[in-house]
Amino acid sequence: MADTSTELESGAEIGEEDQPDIGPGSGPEPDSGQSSAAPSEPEAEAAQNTDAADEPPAASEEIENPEIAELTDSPEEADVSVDDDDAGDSEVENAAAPVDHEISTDDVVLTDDDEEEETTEESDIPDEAEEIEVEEEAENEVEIEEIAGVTEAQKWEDETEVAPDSTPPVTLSNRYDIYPGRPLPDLDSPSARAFEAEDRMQPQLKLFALICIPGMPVRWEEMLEIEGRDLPGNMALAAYGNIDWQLQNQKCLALIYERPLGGHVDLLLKDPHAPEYKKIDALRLIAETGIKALISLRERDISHRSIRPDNIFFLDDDHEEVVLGEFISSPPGFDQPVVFETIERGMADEGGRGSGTLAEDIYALGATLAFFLQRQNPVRGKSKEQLLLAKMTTNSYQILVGKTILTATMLEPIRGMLNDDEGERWGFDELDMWLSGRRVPPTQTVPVQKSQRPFRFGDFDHTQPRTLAYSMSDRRESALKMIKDGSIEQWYSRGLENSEMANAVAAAVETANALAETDPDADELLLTRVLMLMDPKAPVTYKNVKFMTDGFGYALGVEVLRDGNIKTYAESIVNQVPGIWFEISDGAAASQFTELEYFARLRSYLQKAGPGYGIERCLYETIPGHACRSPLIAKENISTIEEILPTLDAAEKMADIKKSPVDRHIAAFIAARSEGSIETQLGELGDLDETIQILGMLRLLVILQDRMKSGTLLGLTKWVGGLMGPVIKLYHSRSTRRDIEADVPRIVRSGDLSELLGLLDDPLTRVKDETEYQAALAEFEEAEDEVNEIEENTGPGSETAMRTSNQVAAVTSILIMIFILSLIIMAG
Amino acid sequence: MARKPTKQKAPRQAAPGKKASLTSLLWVFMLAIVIFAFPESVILLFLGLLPTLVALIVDKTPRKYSTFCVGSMNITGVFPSMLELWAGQNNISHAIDIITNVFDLIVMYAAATFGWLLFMAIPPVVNGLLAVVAQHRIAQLRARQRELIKEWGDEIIPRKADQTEAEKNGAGQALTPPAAPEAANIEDLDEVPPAPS
Repeated sequence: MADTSTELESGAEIGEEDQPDIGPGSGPEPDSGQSSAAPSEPEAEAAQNTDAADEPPAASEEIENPEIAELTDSPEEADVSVDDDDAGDSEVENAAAPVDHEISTDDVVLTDDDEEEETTEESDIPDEAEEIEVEEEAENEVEIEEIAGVTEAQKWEDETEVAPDSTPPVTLSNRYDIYPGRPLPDLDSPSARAFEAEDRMQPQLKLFALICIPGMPVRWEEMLEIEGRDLPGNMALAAYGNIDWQLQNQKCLALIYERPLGGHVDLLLKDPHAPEYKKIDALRLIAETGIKALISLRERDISHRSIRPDNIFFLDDDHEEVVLGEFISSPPGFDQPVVFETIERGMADEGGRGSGTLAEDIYALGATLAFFLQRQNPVRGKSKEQLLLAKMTTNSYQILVGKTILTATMLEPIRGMLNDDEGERWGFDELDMWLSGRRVPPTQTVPVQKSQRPFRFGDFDHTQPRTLAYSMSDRRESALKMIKDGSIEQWYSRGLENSEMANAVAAAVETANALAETDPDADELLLTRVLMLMDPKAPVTYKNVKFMTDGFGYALGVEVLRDGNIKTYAESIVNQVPGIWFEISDGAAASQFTELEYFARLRSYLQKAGPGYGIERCLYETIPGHACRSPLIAKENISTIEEILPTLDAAEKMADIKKSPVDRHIAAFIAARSEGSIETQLGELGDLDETIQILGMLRLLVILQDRMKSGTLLGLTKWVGGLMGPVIKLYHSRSTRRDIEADVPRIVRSGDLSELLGLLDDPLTRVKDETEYQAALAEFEEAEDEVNEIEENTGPGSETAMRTSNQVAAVTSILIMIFILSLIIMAG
Repeated sequence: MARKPTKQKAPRQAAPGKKASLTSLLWVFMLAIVIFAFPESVILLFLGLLPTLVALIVDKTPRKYSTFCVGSMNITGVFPSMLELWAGQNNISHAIDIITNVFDLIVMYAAATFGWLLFMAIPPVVNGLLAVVAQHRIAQLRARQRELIKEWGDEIIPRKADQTEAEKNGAGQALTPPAAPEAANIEDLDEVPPAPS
């Protein structure tokens, strides 16, 4: 027990290589290796006897695990290689075979009863076995990538200055003072730093603040749900909010928690001088409190997803109460070492492990108890891949529970909680029965189909499609080659004797070949489909990303924070990869229709290129409360739509006001957070015409100002008013333009965007302008025509002029004639 | 069906020709009656109106304005002699007396000459007057166009005019610069275009 906590916390006692693997990604799992601190057998027996009255009937009175099968040190050793002569076509994987607990970890010695069965699990590969050698890819690739992925919290801490103790406190909600100069490293979370905090209204309360990494997706909805509520067994979140954190020179989300006074539980459990019975009492207390905590979370339909040894605290100095630590500051499962994740979610990228259910929490609690339970760490030095392959090849219980344990009384619940089959895993009913001292009926293990012929890939002999699929997902080029050359199909038909799957793989290859010319991603989709066929429970795998369907948003958020591989996530949605996953993994479950609709909606966002859509929209749609990542206001770390206008208003002084205040991130943020439809305005924002873009931006801001009742926005109105030149030029009339230009400064001083919009986009004025413009256009053309006609007809040699003048001459002659004849007649 | 229009068209085309020939025949018949009924008047008119007949022959224009001018004045010159004939013996000898009287002939032909003078003098004067009126009207229209451009900008100028009308006349060139200027420079265009001469 002490070993585990030591390793998980700092590794100070057992060297650098045993440092805790906390945070996103996992390198080698925590190492126990503290054999010297292990209590002697009689001592352990004494401890066992101490708890005997409270325990359900134990399988053994030994302090070493009497039920656990002997573990091998590496997945290769744990691999099951079946020779052709072996009579069994399939084996029961989860069966925990009794093993002599005195055997060292380096030896494989079986009891007589199990010798026959265990023979099938020997690592020797029979000569007759068909082996398919595949070009090897670097095995430690995954580990290196994950170590690189760990660094958000570390980088943040490295960049963060240390404030002097005299630094004045930062106040949250005019109530909580947070002291930047008083860090509490013991209470740090992997994705948040802890500082002292005080409640002005109740100074006697012991509080601390967790300052979250800016831009890191947090569990917003869960935070809203638990704020100010007393959840038994969980650390109480007193308040939260953005604070101006000078150490980061930006605003950060602060979480105010009640401070656990007893520190980490492993302070006790790692103490070599602490009596065994105290440790065992603590262990049972952790189990009981953990179950109560999960029950209280179940009432609110929340999963914890951060249960691990270093996230459990003693609430009081007397070590009589424990609480589970916080789980808000990072995506679900993000900070979990892979050993505390179920096999399926452990396969996913750290950000994409998904919220899951309390079944995952029960597993994590079981894994945590397993770590506290034993004196040695059975997963020492294992990489993520090795650990997952080992879990899949045998089962989590065998992998996580070593031989040397503090007490056997906890083995039953741990085995129930670590059942890899979620359906067979202990639920709250079983946990209740165990807490009340009743015996829980043993669960049936489901036999796992294994191949008679191991398939060698990635330096590992696979007998199960599931392990092969996982290895293939990390070596995609080689995997694709194998699928295309028929090796997988052949293995299914000959090794696993599963012609149905062989046909399905062949059909997938055929479809991919047909689409190869038209779809550039046909090969990747083929591999994705085949991997899903091979392991339907595995996360969605596409190219180099893996995520659970309920973890897509957080995975995307983490990639955005890392400035990482966002494009692949977008491609996976556009290529409807989650749909393939649901089709293969979920069958015809009713729940998938909601999920499919959700991903179809994301796909529709990605298929539109304008502001308010694209990957940014997906980011804000999928992560509730995710802070806006626009460069204009990223430092303000705003998470709610109500904050956007005041923040933009304040940003006017610092921003480049020649650019629009609504960029792609802000448009997407507004679109995702806004309750009413703003599709029209988003369409205008994406128009090719600059004036329509600007008007769309203004209309969008006006809608927000009206809905949010944001009041006067002097800075933003000034900012927007300065961009209205092209809009004013939409009016044809120069006098109207001058009038509007003269009015803009007055409206800017009023800070009313709707008034600005009314001035610039008055329908009556616009109709009048257009009508008069058309009339003027017609008048100009008429004048031009008349001028042309006159010039044409009054020219020196023009026919009309000649005709007219001749007519005048003729008429004049006739008039003279009439006049003279009249005179003659009158005279005569 | 196709033949019907042809059948209907043929009689229609033939009708005007018959009508014209009939009209001509009537005129000849009436002229003959007039000649035989009033030979003295016909002799006087024929000889007195010879300039008009010449003008009619010389004037190739369809509307025969010169004939109208010369004829009007020629009739004015012949009319006193006609009155003298009709008021006197009204016979052929008297008619011959009149047309052999130089004074009477001078009056007739001088009047016709005056008609020619009118036909030659009046059109240039009228042309000049028309040009002045047109120039005034064009100036009015150009001024209005400048007002419109000042209010609505150069986009009000039809783009086609840039290449066609502007090449034809100076006014068009002034109003339609090669590149549309900004609204602020519209005043630069506010110059009176050259009036047509």
